[in-house]
Amino acid sequence: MDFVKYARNQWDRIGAWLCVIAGAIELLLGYLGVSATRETGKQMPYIVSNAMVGLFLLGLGAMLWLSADLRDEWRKLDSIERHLIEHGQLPAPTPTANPGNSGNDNGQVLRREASLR
Amino acid sequence: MNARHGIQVGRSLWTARDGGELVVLQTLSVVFLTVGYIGTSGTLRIGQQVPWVDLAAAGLVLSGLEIMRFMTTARRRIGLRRLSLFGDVVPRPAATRREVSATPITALVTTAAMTRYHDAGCPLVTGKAGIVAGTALSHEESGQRPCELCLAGGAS
Repeated sequence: MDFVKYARNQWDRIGAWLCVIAGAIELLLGYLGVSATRETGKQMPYIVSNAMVGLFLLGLGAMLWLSADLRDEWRKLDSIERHLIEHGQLPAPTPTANPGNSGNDNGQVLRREASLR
Repeated sequence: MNARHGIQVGRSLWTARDGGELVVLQTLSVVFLTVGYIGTSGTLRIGQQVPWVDLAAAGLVLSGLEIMRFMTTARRRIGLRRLSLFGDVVPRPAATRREVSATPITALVTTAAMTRYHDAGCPLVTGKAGIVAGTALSHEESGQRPCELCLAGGAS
């Protein structure tokens, strides 16, 4: 039960590990396949299917792991910003239209009312 | 989302577009790798295999480039948001330090007609009509760049 909860919260890190493990297995299989024959024509498919796919999976795993870290950092900044707003240390923002970026999710840009002179 | 202030604190690090591009390009990479494998395994002649190997390699490179783009986008957004919240901790020249410290870190202002955002005390924005304040992140998301006069060194 706890593992299910952990897996839901940390799906990206679990996915990263799975990709890295799968990538390592692919590389190993590629090595075994290539070393089993001396004909270059027979070795090529192993290079493409195992070696390259292995590298692809390793890259994907690294991306998932790093993105999990970045997402954690983003959440931490969320909580800091929320705290600052609640304590009045940031000006209250007012959402406005974003004319230069209307087709983008970043259109949710917040603009804070100027507290200028 | 913080309803009282209307701030979307819980907004995602990546936009739907970022995610969509990642999925599309990674899928394309998988297609290239698969087609490359099928093409390579269909013949034993190296001369005929090379183009298929190239295709698979292109898929791998495409995947790597997209991953780099995806991660640097996130890294940049986090950097901008940290800058918005905590200010620029990089020491500035003594001549500008006094003005910077006298200005609230979130007082980055611009107008709809401007292509750059400025420190509230910047002479390029003083007296302009329609000034809106925001964070470096919000201005960057609107497609504006930091003023090179008052925000020396940029916001990234």
